[in-house]
Amino acid sequence: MLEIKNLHVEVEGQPILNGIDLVIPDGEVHAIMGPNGSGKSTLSYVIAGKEEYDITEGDILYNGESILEMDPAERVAAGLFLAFQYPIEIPGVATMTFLRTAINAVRKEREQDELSIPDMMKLIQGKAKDLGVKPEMLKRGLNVGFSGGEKKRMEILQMALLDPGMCILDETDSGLDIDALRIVSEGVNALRSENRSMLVITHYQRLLNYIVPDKVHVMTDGKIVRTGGKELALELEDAGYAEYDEELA
Amino acid sequence: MELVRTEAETGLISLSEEAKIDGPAWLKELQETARAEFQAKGLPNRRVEEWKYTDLKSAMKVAFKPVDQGDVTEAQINEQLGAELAAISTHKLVFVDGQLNEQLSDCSLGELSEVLSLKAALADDVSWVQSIGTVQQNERDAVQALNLALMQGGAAIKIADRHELNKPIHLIFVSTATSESSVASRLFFEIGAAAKVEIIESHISLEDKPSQTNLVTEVLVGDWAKVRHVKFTNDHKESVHLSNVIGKLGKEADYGLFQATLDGGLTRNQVEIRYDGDEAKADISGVALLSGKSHADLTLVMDHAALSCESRELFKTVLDDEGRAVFQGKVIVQPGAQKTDGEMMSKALLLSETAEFDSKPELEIYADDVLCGHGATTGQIDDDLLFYLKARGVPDEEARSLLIQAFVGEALELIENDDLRDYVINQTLAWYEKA
Repeated sequence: MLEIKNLHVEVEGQPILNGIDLVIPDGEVHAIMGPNGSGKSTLSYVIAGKEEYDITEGDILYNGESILEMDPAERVAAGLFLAFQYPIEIPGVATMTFLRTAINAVRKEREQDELSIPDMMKLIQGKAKDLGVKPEMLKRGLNVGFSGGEKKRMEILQMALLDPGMCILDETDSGLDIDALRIVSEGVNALRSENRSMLVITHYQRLLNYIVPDKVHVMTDGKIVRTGGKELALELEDAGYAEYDEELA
Repeated sequence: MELVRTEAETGLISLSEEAKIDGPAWLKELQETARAEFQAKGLPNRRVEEWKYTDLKSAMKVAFKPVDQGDVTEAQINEQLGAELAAISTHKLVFVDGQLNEQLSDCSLGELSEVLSLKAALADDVSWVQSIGTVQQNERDAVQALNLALMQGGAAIKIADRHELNKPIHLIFVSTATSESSVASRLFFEIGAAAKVEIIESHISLEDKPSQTNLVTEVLVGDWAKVRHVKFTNDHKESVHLSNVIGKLGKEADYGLFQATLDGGLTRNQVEIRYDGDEAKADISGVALLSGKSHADLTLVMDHAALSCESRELFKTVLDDEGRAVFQGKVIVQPGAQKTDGEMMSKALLLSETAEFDSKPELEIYADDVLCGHGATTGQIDDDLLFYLKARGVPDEEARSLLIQAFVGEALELIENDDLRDYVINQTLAWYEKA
């Protein structure tokens, strides 16, 4: 379970998040929707532990423990995973090498045995096949020369391999055509389970047709201004975010 | 005008007066000329344009003396090389304190190829060794002159026409000195037409004492010949390592030199390549990983004097602590050397705020139909890349190590021999773990 309590965040003295309260129980999928600049991506980075943010007030608890003092790698070992809006290209780091390093680092931190190379290959190749990640992509530099759809599939592959309890998907739909969106969403849906929760961050309702949330939150100006069921997404699709901006004005 | 000599210069001059290698009159004359050149120039300092960033005069306080060839066993050499490198099957040529040791070496290269100790080749005035000291096109600098004046050993290696060596030649320079010592050696390669040879060069020390090395390698690369040379140094932090590779390429020759420098004291790898035959190509690349107060200088001159030649240079430098690296690359395109294709790139990754990288690329182009480019970058580890790796559970140290590996990896990929590439990769990994 993820609990965010009265979270205030600044970047270089500029307030970005102004008191976020959010609880995502195990097994639930929540969506955060909001206009550009509302602080959605900041929230995802803060949960993942990116350094340049100052948390001035509040706390983030995962399974009852504050994660604020953990570094990003420790958060992953604890069970958090952020799928990036813009996955980063790292030339010179072979995708397979990176996946092996990441999996074994996380297993070590979780006090599980490191996997042997054949077991590792079997695991990676199996999950890669399920997500339609071609074997030659695993040999290339991480994300180098991948299309937008391939990059997002690689994010979901990593998510599947690191076996998180809480997945945060930051604008996973951006840059995807309808076919890629379907494949990625199927990959995400396959990971839904009783003991895994998800936070889906999106600007558009479209993604939520495929990954159907239990709850939808509307965020503007660094605050959650409304919470509802999945039908709230459809309402936003028709009316836009203008209403909420006016509320704040 | 009276020159004020440093202690090191006085020492070097007196060493050059004592150093006498047996040989014919032409050799004595050449050495005498070189000695006079060094006496006139002294050690290069920052006021000499080509030595602006590497002030040898102030860095080299005293001149160490050479030592007699010491005792060393094959087992000791293998231990110093490490299992991984020792396991690569090669023709080992072992130079003990600068002298070719024929008992420890495998000088039978097959066919009509030859390996001679420099001393023997000069004493017998072997005809193909008479080109020694003449491969160079430009004026000798003080360090090159000093090598001629001081040289006490080395080898002359001839690869017969069309001879494709079945395994690499491994040049192993081993120091047995139990205190500070110096070595002045020269290698002379004559690579026959359409011959193929791979060279590995290592510098090791049994006692890990400071040393001063002055090594000149002359390479005549025949028409259609292919040479791959990989050099690896990991010297003592108070050592001075001065290396010159001077090459001349025949028609359609294909020459590759990769130099990997790990730490050390002051290292200068100077390379001068003359394109003498049309359509020749050369790839001069390397990596340097420097911590502590290590200083490494890479200075190269690619001199295009023929049609349609290609030069490629890619250097990756990682600097930690007060490490300092210098890159000076000059591409000359002589009048008439049309269709020259040259690309030069030097990139440095700074891991500390006290590290320094100086880069001076130069193009001197006297022909109009050429394609030449160069670039240099200096940067730090990218925070976004680092965060991405950490957000996948890779701990900070390991993530940094991966990014450094990725940075140098682009250059390491240029080492064609798989075993050798793995060896150098593992050495760079060990460097990072230590740093």
